[in-house]
Parts: sequence; structure tokens; C-alpha cells
Amino acid sequence: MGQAGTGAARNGTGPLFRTLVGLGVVCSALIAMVYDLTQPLIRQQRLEVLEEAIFSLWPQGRAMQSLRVDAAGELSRVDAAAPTDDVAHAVYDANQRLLGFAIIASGMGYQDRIALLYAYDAREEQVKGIRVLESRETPGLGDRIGYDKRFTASFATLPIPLDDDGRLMNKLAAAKPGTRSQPWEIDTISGATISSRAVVDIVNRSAARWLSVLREESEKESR
Amino acid sequence: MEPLRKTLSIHTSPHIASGADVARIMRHVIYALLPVCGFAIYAFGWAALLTLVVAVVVCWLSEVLFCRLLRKPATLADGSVTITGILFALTLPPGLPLWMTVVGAFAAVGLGKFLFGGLAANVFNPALVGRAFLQAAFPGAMTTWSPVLAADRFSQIPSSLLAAPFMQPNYDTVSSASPLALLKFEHTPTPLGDLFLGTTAGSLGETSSLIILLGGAYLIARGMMSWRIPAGILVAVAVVGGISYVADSERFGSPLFMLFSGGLMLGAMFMATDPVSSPVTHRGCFVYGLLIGLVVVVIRNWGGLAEGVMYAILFANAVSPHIDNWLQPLPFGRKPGHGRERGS
Amino acid sequence: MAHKPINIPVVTAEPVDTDVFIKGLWRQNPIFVQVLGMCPTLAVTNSAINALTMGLATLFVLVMSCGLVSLLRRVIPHHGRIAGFVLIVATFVTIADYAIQAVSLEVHKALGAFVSLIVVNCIILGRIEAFAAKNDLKPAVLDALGMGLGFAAALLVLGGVRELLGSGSIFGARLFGESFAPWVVMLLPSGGFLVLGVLVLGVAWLKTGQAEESK
Repeated sequence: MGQAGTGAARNGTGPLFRTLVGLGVVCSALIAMVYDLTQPLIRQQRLEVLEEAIFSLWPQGRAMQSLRVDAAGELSRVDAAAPTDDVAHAVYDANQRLLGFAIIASGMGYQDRIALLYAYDAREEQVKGIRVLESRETPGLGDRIGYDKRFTASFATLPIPLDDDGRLMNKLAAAKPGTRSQPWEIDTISGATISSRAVVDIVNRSAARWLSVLREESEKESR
Repeated sequence: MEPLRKTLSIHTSPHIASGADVARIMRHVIYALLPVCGFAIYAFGWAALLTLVVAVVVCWLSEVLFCRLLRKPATLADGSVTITGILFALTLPPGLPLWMTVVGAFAAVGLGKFLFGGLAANVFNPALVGRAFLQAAFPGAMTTWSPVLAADRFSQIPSSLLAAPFMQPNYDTVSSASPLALLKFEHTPTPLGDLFLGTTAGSLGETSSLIILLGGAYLIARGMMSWRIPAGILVAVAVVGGISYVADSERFGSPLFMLFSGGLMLGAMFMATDPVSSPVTHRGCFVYGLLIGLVVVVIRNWGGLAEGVMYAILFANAVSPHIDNWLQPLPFGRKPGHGRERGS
Repeated sequence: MAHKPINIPVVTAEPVDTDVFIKGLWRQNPIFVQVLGMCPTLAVTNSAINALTMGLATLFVLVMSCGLVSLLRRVIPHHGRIAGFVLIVATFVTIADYAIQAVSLEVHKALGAFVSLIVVNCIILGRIEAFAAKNDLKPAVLDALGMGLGFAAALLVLGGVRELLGSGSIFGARLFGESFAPWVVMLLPSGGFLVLGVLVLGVAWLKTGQAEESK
């Protein structure tokens, strides 16, 4: 490689230092420029994907407000396009009336993390639907949690009542295919037992964290 | 490149011919398999007959095609590909669409045999490679079992068999679970008598242990098959299965259940004993059998699948050169520990 | 295998440059012949659109980095060249990453970490070190174009076959209707190995045939 680096530049750390710093400055300037150009587009994309998912669960929804809960159980409003998992979205109809919530939840599946969105109606104390946002479950088996009609239908009007202390009265439970006997049980998909259980667990964990706070928020709004 | 002109042809041992050439051994294996096929047809009717015929014919055609492509002499006549076809068909569930059978049979001969250079060069049992491909490609269809001895099995062809190519099959009867799946997922054991006679749901050839045992005994009596491999498998399954049964009889099947359910007998007698992909030495054969038995029990008891015979045999196929290497007999006149050449 | 070099439009009249460009497409195809860059090849070719995006991103990074390295080859000191090359490659990879996110979040999610991993794709450092760092701008860019297009085309073929068998569609357009039986294995990494193996075999077989004919 005789051509690269000539004369005095061949040894010494000075020229190397200068070149790398120079390159670094030019490169970071370039990256910063591209970042500025693409960032609005990326935010727009994120928002569209999220809105599409939320409004598919709440067809009457027209507007939304993203919420986050801190360790003390206090709600705060956050920017919707921020890429974060632990967020719930309050969904409003055309008259600014609160319809319910869409909560993002995630946890381990069979292959990798599953992220999903479920709709919670605080007045009827029901889960109103579920949608898988991200999963790498086995195609044809585990990934049916996203499109198996019978499985998603069991989340369509799923009672999930809270007691007076804001705890779940009944945790959701996974039942073998076709053996569902309680309203809080969900038929697993045969051949995708682990993935279906994972979904139930994810919703359970997220519900324990969110539902009581959201129910309070909903009561406040309707007052 | 000009081929070397051979004046002296060099062979590995054995150098003394016993008259047991490939074609003759294969003929006897086919004889031993015929009763198994017969029972499959009795148990599953048209579905079994069609699957067997299609699998064998596609294997023949693929063999001819690949021999042409590779400009090799046709090896159709020695019967080995016929056995591949029959064994492959016997591992399939009876309601499998015929187009999947075609894909699998082609994969068996193409991926399992000719990719490695044809007869006697294959590392894995071709029939099992074909089945493994189907299992990976169509896990749903490969674990849907039609009921055994259905009343209409000779009067009509199941519609799932005739699914259009690339389309999903429609099953017209409710599928029944195989005994292994019943035990694993529903904790329901199946009576041993049913398992032994073969009146349970399962693949075409994995139902009647009795007939398979008779076929295996015929080959062993004729000296066409090493008894050490099936012996090793059965011993390992009985012992390891016995230990796990004693440890937790709720969860795990009894050793007899382990022996007579699933594809174990068919695998032990006809798949693991494939002379090409199994070890050469006597001790190696026994070790190879033990390894298969151990892996079968491990997969059945603790794996995610109900049945593990196929993967156990394929795994042992891959290990078998190492077993041979490890248990290589000393050349005559050499002292132990001296100049043992390995991995040549 | 539509990429026989004969029909490629010639960029310049000089035979050397033409060869610099076309060798990457077939004779020295980075995937089928050199068997380089296997990580993205196997990981992201489960659908045609993923494969195409990956191929185009790599093509972009390859051409830009090779061009820049060729321009700067007298400035970058010899003993620090790898650090400089990686810096340049990483810059363009970051740009490509932002661009993909801006166009489609879904594809970006499907490609996951593999966009960032273009940095360590051995085709790129290989072409820089073996060619761009020793040649003028024009041959360096032509070489990168040829190699990048060869890589993208190979990925597209692989992704096309896997999507066709694994989902019954091409670029998301369903060809067999709803009751298509998916070949699950094609969507899993093991299917990538299988299809790649068969394609490499086919290319090697075709090339032996060509070599025998030309004798």
C-alpha cells in the first residue's frame, strides 16, 4: 500500500491525529446535517404508525394525548412521537370526549420481545381490543398472536374489573384451546401456547401498573 | 481436466466379496418393508397407498434427473432410492397433501443424497432429510394426524390429500392427536396394546410396532442388518426412559410406552440402520444406537416437540464419523497408543 | 440469473473501466462467488423489500465510501488508514440508517440492527482496502458500483425466492390468494442457508459449464 500516505506523513502521530480529527469534524457535520433533514420525517412516520394503530382500536377516536406514570403513580403528559415503550394514550372522539385509553406494553415472547397495544375502556372496565406492534415470533406459529381471529377476538370485550383499592379482581389467565370457562380466561392458540401465554402475561403486568391510575384519570375527566 | 487413467484401482476394505451386493441387500430390505406398507394401507386406506406411490415415483424421477444432470451412471436399479421413497412415505402423516409429498421426496433425493454426491456419499439418511425439510417448511400439516381405521378409508380419498399445489389442505375429519402428543400436551396415556398392534393415530409407518419388529427380525436373521444399532437404541430408551419414569411418572411415559409409541421402532429398525450414514465398527454401532436412544428420550421428555426420533437419528448421523474415528480398531500389529492416525 | 455481463450498458469506452464495473456483477459477485457479507445476506433476506432496501443501502455506503477514500487516499496516513476508513463508512451508514427510517419505519424495524452492521460488512472494507485506496476516483466508484449492484441483485434474488415460497408474495403482492400454505422454513434463518446454498451451487455449476464451453 505504497501510495497511501507519502513522505513525512508515513510515521509520526501528528499527521494521523490531524487527519482523523479533520475527518471526524467533517463526518459529524455531515451526520448532523442529515439528522436535521430527516428528523421531522422520522417523527412524522412514528406518529402516523402510532395513530394508525390506536385509531384502529378506537375507530371513533380523533385525537389523543400520551401519558406516562411515574413511580408515585402520578400521571404526566408526554410527547407522542417520543420513542418509548411505557406510555398510555388517552383517546378522544370528535367532541373532545374521552373514549378510553390505548396502552403500550411489552415483554418477552418465545423468540424475542413482544410489544403490543391494547385498548382499555375505564367506564365499562373492559379491554376493547389488542394489536401486536412488534414481534419476532416464529412465522406461521407464534406470530399468529397478531392475526389469529379467535385469539384477538377474545380480547375484543374482555372484562377486567378492578376492586376498590385499584387492584385487578381477576388476573387474566391462559386456557388450553377450547377450554375457556371463565370470562377472564383466554384461549391460547394451539401450536403457539408460549407466545399466547406471553401476551396474557404482558397484558396482566401492564394492567396492574396502569389500570387504577387510568380509571382515576377517567373519573376526573367525566366529572 | 483429463481424467486420470487408472491402471491400478485402489479400494478400501473389505476385499472379499460375500455376494451381498447393494442390490441384493436392498431387495431384502424392501421385502421387510412390504408388510409395514401393507399395514399402513390397511390402517389408512387410499391415503396411505397414494402417498406411498407418489413418494416412490417422485424419488425415482428425481434420481434419474440428478443422475442425468451430474452425468453419472443411473443408480435406479440398485433399489436404494426405492427404499428412500418407501421410508420417506412411511414417516408422513396420512392426510398430508400429495404436493407436499412431492416436495419432500424431491428434497430427500436432492438435498439428502445428491448434494453429497449420490449413493454411499450421503452424510444423513435421505428419507429423514426429506421429512426434516417438510417438518421445517410445513409444521402444521406435518403434525395433523388423521384418525386410524376410519370407516370410509377405502371408499373415498381424503380431500386434504388432493389440495392444489402451494395451497393449504382442508381436513374433512377432525384430526386426532398422536399418542406422544396426547401424553405430552394432554397428559393422557394410550393403552399399550393399541400401540403394539398399531391401532393409534400417527404417521403411516409408525403405528404397528409388531410388524416392524418382525421385519427387523427378518433382516437380522438374514444377516443383512447390524443388530447392534437397534439394540443400542432400544436399550438406551428403556434405561433412560425408565429412570425418568421412576423420577416423575406423572409427566413422563413409561419405558414400554416410550418403546412402542411414535416412530421409534421404524427409526430403530429401518432408518438408523442405513449402512451409509451409520458407523462401520461393531462397537461404534452400539454407541451410535445408545446415542440415538438417549437423544430421543431427552427430546420427548424435555424438548418442545412431542417426537424426537427424526432429529435424534439425524444428529447421530452427523456424529457417526466421529464415533468411527474414536473407536477405530488398531491396525494389525500396531501397539495401542502408537501412531494412531486420526481424521484422515 | 439475469445478470450476465453482456447486456450491461457500457459506461466508458475504455475496456479496463468496463471490466472494473462488470466483474462485481457476475464473475466476482460478492455473494455467489466471493461469499462475503453473509451476515446481512442470511439475516434480512426473508422478503424482497427487506433484501432490496439492504442491497440499496449497502450500494450507497459502498459507492460513497469508496469515492471519498479514493479522493482522500493521499491524505490519510498509511498506519492509521483503517480507523479513517471505518470513520468514513460509519458516517455513510448513519446517513443510510436515517434515510431508511424517514422513508419507512416498518422496513427499518424489520432490518433491525443489520443496517448499522453494514459498517462491518467485509465487502465494504474489502473494496476500500483492495481497490479504492489504490485507485483514482473514477475506477474506484465504478468498482464500488459494480460490486454494490452485484450484492444488491444477489440479495434481491435471495429475498425474492424466500418471500415467494415463505409468504406466497413478491414485494407484498400476494400471488396465490389467501389459502397459500407458507413454507415456514423459508422465513427462518435456516431457509436463508438453504436457498443461498442452492443458489451458490447453481452459479458455480453455470460457471463450470461456461468455462467448459469456452475451451
